[in-house]
Amino acid sequence: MAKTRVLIVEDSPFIHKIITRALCPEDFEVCGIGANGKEGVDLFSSLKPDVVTMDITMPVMDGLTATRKIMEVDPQAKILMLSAMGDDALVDEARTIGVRAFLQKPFKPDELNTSIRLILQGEL
Amino acid sequence: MTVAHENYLDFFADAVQKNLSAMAGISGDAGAVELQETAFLSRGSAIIIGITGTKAGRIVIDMDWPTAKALCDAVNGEEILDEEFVQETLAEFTNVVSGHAVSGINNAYPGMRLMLTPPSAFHGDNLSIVSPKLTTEVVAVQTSLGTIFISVGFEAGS
Repeated sequence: MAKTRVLIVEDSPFIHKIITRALCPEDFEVCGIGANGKEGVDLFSSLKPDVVTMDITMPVMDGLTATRKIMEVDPQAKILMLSAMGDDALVDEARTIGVRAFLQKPFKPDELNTSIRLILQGEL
Repeated sequence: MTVAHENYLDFFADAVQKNLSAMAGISGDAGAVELQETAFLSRGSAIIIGITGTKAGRIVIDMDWPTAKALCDAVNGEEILDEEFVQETLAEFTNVVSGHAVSGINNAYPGMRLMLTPPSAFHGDNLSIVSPKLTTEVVAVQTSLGTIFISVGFEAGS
């Protein structure tokens, strides 16, 4: 069975490493890494990933703006927000613009894998 | 809205202690909050994050290089020899601490909407950090790896 293709949009090389290590290798593969929101939008269009992990605080373009632009391109895009921030207003805003799930850093590998599986199953 | 600065520092001290445990598996003991001079000398490794939104300011997490290196190794669960990746790790640690702290502040004070800028990392001797327009306070957190200093400043009157 084909693996789920994950696009990471995140400016921190440390988090690139954490996400890549955390993803279950039998089920998921990283198809691309965008170091800011603009790169994420561009890579989403060219790679057509199954799922996007999206940071919020990034240079050039933040994750909320990038999510809005991706949703304009594909309203069915499956986006999991991974952020150090997690206040109620921010989570509400993310959900309003189409984010399927929100994980606050630091996260456990199980939380990441489970969140992506639930998004793919349409349960988030 | 007026909130004493030391109340803000409590959110940062709590966030450091919580994430030292979650990310590095160690504990930390926060000392008393103290006023800080507008200029101070870094201990050797400093991460700076800007605060934007309803109040403007900045956060500095500062420590000496041996502490920075040891904290990085603990967070990664292995020895990191690449100096740039040590700074990347500390930048993300500071980002997580700052994110948790400002989220706590945003939730606790209705109408407050603080956001963060991406972190910048600095490493070297005789690195002077000057924040002339900010009222700044600092708290020291003692850990088994060394002391971590959290400095938080907001624009006067913001």
